[in-house]
Amino acid sequence: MRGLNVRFASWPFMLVALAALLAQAPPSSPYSLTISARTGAAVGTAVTVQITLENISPGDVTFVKSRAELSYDVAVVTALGAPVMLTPYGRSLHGQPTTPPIMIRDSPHEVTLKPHQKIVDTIALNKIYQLAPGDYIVQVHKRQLNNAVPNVASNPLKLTIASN
Amino acid sequence: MALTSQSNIPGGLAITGNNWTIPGTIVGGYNASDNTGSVVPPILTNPSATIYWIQATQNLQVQYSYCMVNGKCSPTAAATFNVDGPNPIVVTTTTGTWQVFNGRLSYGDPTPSATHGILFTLTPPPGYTGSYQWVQLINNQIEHVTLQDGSSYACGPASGLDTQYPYSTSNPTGDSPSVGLASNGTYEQESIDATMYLMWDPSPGSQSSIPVPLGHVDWTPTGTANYDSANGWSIDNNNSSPPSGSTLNFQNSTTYPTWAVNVVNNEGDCQ
Repeated sequence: MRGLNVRFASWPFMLVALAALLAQAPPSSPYSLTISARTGAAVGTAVTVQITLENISPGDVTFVKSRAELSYDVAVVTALGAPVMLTPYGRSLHGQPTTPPIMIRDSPHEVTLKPHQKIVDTIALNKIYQLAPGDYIVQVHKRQLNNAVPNVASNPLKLTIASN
Repeated sequence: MALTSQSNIPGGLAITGNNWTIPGTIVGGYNASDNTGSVVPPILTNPSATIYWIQATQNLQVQYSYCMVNGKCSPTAAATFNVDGPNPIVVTTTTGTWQVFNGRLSYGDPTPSATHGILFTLTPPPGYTGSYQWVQLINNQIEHVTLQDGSSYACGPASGLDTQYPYSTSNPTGDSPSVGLASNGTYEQESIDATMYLMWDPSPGSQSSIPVPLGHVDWTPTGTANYDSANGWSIDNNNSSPPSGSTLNFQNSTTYPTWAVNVVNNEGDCQ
C-alpha cells in the first residue's frame, strides 16, 4: 500500500489517467473491480466508496473474504498525484506504529463466486485517510493471499470533498 | 405458516377474543441483516396468525376458539400438523494452529485450501431440499498488547455479528480470525469467544419460510505471540490454544443467533 502511494505520488496525473485505460480487468483476469461513490462529499461526513468485484470468468472463482480494507489496497492521491496523510487507523492498517495501538481484526473465509456473481464492499476512505476539501483520485487493488488469482486494479475514481 | 380462522357469528355479536393454542417451538418471524438480527414473537390474539415451527415435531394439534361480547365462547376447532426438518444434523470441526501470517496473529491460514483456524463441515441428511447457512457471532474478543516502550494495553472488547449475514452458505466453511501485530509491539495475545450457528431454510426466498436454527458450535481460541529483534514475531505455543486437530462439539439447539450490532462497528479501543 505504501508502495502504491509512493508510485502514484511520483507519477504525473496524466499517467494516472492512462492507468484508467489499463484498469479493471486484464484479459487473463477472472474478475473485474469497479469502484463508485456518491458525487461529492462534505468534510466531516463519511466518505465511502463502493467496490464491486465481479466474476467475469466462465467458471467458479474462490476468493478470501475479509474486512473490506484488508481485502483491498486503497490508494488515494490528490488530483495532482500528491500523497494524502493517513489517519491513525490508516497508519496501523499500513503496518506503521501507533500509540496506543489500534487493533485491526479480521475474520477471513473463503467465498466462491459463480460466473457474473458479485461481491459488493464499502470502504470509508476518511477512516484511512485525512481528507481535506479538494479533489482526489481513488483506486483500489485486490489483495491476494496467494498468486492463484492475478492482481487487478479498479477504475480510478475522481472524488471531490467539499467544505462545509 | 399462515393460520386463518373462519367464524360465523350470530348477528349483533362481535368477537372480543381469539384464542390460539399452538404447541411446539414457534416464532413469529426472524429479521436479520448485517447490523441487526432478532426474533419476532408470535402474535396469537388475532383471527389469523403467522407462525413458524422451528423444531421438527410430530402430531402437533393446533386449537382455536373465539369469545364474543355476550361472554360466550365458540367450540374449539383443531388441526394436526406434522413438522418435518433435516435430521440428524452432523457437524464436525477441525482446528488448525496459531501462526504469524502476513504480519498478523492468525488462527490458521486463510488461504484457500490451506488449514484454517477452524473448519465446520456439515453432513446433510439425505432427502431434504432447502438451503443451509452459517451465522457467526463474536461474543467477546479482546487483545492484550505490550509495546516496546513497556506500556501495556487491553483492547476491546469487540462483539457482534461476524462479518455479514449470513456468514457463509458454503459447506464446509472455515474461519481464520486474525489481528494485526503492532509494529512497535513486543507481546500480543488475542482471545476469542465465538459461536457458529447452522441454520436451514426449507424454501429460501419464499415468504412462507424463514431460516431456522439447527444448532451451534462454541469455540474459544487464544493465541499469543512474542517479538524479539533477532527473530521477529513468533508464536508462544505454551500460551496458545486449542491444540491443532482439536474437535469441538456441535450442539443441537433451537436458539436463534441475535445481535444488535456488527462487530466492525463495536470493536472498542486499546486502553
